[in-house]
Amino acid sequence: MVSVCLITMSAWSQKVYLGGGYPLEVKIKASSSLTECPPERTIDGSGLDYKIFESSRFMAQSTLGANIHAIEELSETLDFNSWIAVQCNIPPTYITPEMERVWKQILEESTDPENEFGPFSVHFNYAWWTVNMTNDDVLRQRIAYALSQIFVISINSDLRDHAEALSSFYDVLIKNALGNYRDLLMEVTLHPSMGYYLSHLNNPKEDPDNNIHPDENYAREIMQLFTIGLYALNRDGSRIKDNQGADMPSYNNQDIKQLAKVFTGLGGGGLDPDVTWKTQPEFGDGLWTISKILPLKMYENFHDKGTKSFLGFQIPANQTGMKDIQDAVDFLFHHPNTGPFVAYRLIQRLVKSNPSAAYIDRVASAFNDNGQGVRGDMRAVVTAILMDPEARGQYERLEPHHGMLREPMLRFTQIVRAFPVFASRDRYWNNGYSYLNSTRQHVLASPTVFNFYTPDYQPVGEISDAGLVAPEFKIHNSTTSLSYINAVNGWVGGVYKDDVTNEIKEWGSLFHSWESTSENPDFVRMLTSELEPHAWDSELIINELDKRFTCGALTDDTRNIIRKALNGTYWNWDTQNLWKYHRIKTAIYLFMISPDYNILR
Amino acid sequence: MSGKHKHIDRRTFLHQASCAAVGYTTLFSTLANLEILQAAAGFNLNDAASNDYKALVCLLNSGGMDSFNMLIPTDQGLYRQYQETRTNLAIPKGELISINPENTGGQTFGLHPALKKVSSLFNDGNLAFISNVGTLVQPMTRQEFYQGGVPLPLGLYSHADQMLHWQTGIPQGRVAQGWGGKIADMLNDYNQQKQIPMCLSVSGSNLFQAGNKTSEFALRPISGAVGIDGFYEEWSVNKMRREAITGMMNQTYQDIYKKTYNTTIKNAFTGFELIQPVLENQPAWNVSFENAGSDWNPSLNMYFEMVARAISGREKLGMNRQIFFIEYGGWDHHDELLNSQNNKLEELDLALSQFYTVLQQMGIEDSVTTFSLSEFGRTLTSNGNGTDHAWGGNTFVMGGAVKGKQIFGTYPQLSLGQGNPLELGGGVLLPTTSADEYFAEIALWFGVPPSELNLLFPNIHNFYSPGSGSNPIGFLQN
Repeated sequence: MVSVCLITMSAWSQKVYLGGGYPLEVKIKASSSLTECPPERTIDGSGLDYKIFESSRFMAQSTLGANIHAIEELSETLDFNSWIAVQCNIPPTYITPEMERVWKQILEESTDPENEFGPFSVHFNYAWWTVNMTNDDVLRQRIAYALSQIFVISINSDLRDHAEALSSFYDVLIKNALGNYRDLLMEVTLHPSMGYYLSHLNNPKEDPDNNIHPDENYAREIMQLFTIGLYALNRDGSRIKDNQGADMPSYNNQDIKQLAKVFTGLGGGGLDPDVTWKTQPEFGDGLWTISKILPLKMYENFHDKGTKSFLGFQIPANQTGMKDIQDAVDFLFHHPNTGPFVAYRLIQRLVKSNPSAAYIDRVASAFNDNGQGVRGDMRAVVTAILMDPEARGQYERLEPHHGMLREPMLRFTQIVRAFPVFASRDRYWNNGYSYLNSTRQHVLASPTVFNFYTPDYQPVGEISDAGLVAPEFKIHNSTTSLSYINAVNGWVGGVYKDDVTNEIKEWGSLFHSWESTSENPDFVRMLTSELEPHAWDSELIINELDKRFTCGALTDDTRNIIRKALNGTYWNWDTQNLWKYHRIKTAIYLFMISPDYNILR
Repeated sequence: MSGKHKHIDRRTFLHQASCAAVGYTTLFSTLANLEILQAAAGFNLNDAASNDYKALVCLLNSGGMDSFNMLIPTDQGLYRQYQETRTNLAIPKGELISINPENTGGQTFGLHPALKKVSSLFNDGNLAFISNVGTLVQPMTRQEFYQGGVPLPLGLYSHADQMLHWQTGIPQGRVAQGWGGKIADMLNDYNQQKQIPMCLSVSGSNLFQAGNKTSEFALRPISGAVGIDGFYEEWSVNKMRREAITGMMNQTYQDIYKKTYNTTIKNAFTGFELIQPVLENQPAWNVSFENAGSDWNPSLNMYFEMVARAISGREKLGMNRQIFFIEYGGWDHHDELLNSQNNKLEELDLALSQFYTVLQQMGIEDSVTTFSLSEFGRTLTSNGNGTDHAWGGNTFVMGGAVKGKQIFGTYPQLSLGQGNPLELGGGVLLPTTSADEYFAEIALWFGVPPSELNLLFPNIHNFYSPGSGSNPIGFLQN
């Protein structure tokens, strides 16, 4: 007698995976009443790949990229809370020391006279990639990278010529990424790079006789871009409406003018090491003269001593300039808008473009109070984002508007961490400029202070028709979409047989270094040794890449397309079995360009 | 690469005004109404003659070109002012190339010695200059500038902000759309074929061509449009990939993000397949375009050559309107002005001349207008061997439709101090012609109805009345 089983599953056209830390179960019912066959059995997914997929998806949200070993290790317990706790205890890896190592090596290797004025942004880039290829503090670095899209400085300014301005600023983000948002605000405000970029460096108090008024740039942007945003918000991120149902601006021009008085009097906190003609910085010394690393200092003579009244708050007269700044930053930090403002932006960087109001509310609550009465606890915020049902849940994952377009940088960082690599000079120097040219994105290379895309960007078409946002599509256009595909081609490379020597040679590199020469090439190449044992079986290759890249979300349609291409990549006369490498590289190439990969769910 | 600066930043001591009467949200609603008003305006683009072809070539000289060493007065007294003010940066009179403007009442001028071919273009009537142009929200005097209360462009002397303003036409805000892109949105129906956008860039993504509905299609000098590497190769590995990519492009996606991701790729590739054969079959030029640069950094003439190719394909591409963008950077001459600028002006001189020659070869020079932008002019005074950020500067326009051999606007005195009512201190000149008027004249020539000008340039009414029936400046034939 055969039991007939009825299996109830979701009708979604992709692989449904079971369990994953969430009680989605498949119940098998027997239609027979035979007593030796239990009437109902629940499959909990043990033995299937769902744990690996869920671990991989978590890593895609919480790191810049992980290899299969990190994914497998976490998949054993799926204890994300412990993983976060461990990550918070790993000492931060800073960019500046690495940048200094890079620069020292450059000076030893190169005789370029331009070196007199360096190090430059390219050396920051070399250091950034080195850190992010080798570090253990992966959560912290992901958050720091996300913060660099909120607290924006950019090489599209004179900062391009000063690697230490870039690295020391980025280090502030690393230092505070799992710390407190208020500390972030203060340290960013006082960093010379931000002072230069948003022009509160050398911003003098009012001098009506000479028609000098405080620069309002930082006052505007600290509100618009770092704390409260343009409109009054409820804790769930929705806008508070007035009696006529209109949005309520959170500040006006008067508020900006008053707040601008606070950010007067800041000047260089030290001198650039190359400056020999003076011993102390003075107010007015520009970017070339001042230290790009030491925090700005207050020059009381240039600070406005009057009262400052903005947003219903009054800073009394005759305080020190630093006290004024502390008070203003405190006020903005405590403003009810700041929680939902930060929550929304970080959710968009890590998990999805269109979080529900409830999700934003939960994360904003964690910002407002971490459970121990502390406001602005980044660890609590990050945990709330990553552990929320909307980030972890399998039902939520299937919701039609869940997910986001992966930003170009994250596609790049993921592939460089996914596989072991061969570094021809034992280093990871990537200048990033060809990728920047191809995709319009690279670390600290935003076109303006408004980042590569704004949180509310809506690509014209179905997404805007549906009232949804999708920021990353701002830089997905006719050029970047195809140039990205060509970048993948360059990463993956290929193998060929040298006609003359009959040697098997490889081409392709993940990184581009300006220090590369034909005699002494400087490249970093993916090694596909992990996948070679599977080369005979296209299905296995696909499954292995599904684990690493698509996190179990590879659709059957795409799988069929890729399988066909892989099966067609074979020649039985190929005595050296080069087809294996072509097949594996084709698989990686097709995964990396597929919509299934590029849209992270 | 900039050198070291020992001076106090100029902008520290200069007036910064707040965002003007037109608030940020008002601007957005203005832009959102663009489409509605376009319909309401009643002008029917289908009436536009399909033989009426026009192209704009926007050349952005980024960094802030020192344009008072490009166009120099040579009358005795005025040249002496120039020389005294510019001291060690003044170019000796004997080295200047003299030009004979028709409209300056006998006042004589000279061009930088590197601009030999440009001087011929000028004297032949195919090129004109516009003097002392700058971003302004409204006209003002020096006194008003010092007293305050008159709205100023945001971030005067700042590269980032001024670059925005020259490309957006909205100097009192920071918006993400450029006036070139908005014109393309407005005049979209001039082109029967919509696969390739009106805006074609040889310098990648840019703000000038970012419209509300479309953005630019990028071409590269020498190699043309971006396709998919290896797509057409016949080796089996490439064939397998080609089939797979085609399969993915043709899939139907339910997921709204995947669909959008894929549609962009599909359209981009279709566009590539449409335009690349046209670009590769351009006519044999009667001028030899040689790349004096490298493969990844070609010389400027190669950028113009790619523009010429796209122009030559206009009929095959079904385009009656094309807007091109080229960015030519490196003008931020805080150091080494004389040497650096000489090299760049030579490169510019050759590029403009070669481009104009092939336009004439195609018989199309009356329909193509090339115009320069730069985020600001530079200080008249020297900082040692270079100059710093300033405000008003000189621009040029080139084309058969240009009323060439003339210098438009008001060429300023170049003396310093109280005696020069335009000099704001430190050798910075208050502009006398607004960028708005400059842009508006170009837009009108290209086909934007006068009634729609304020949708592009909200401040235009401060300088020019669109209903007046005359042109804002007068450098283009109607």
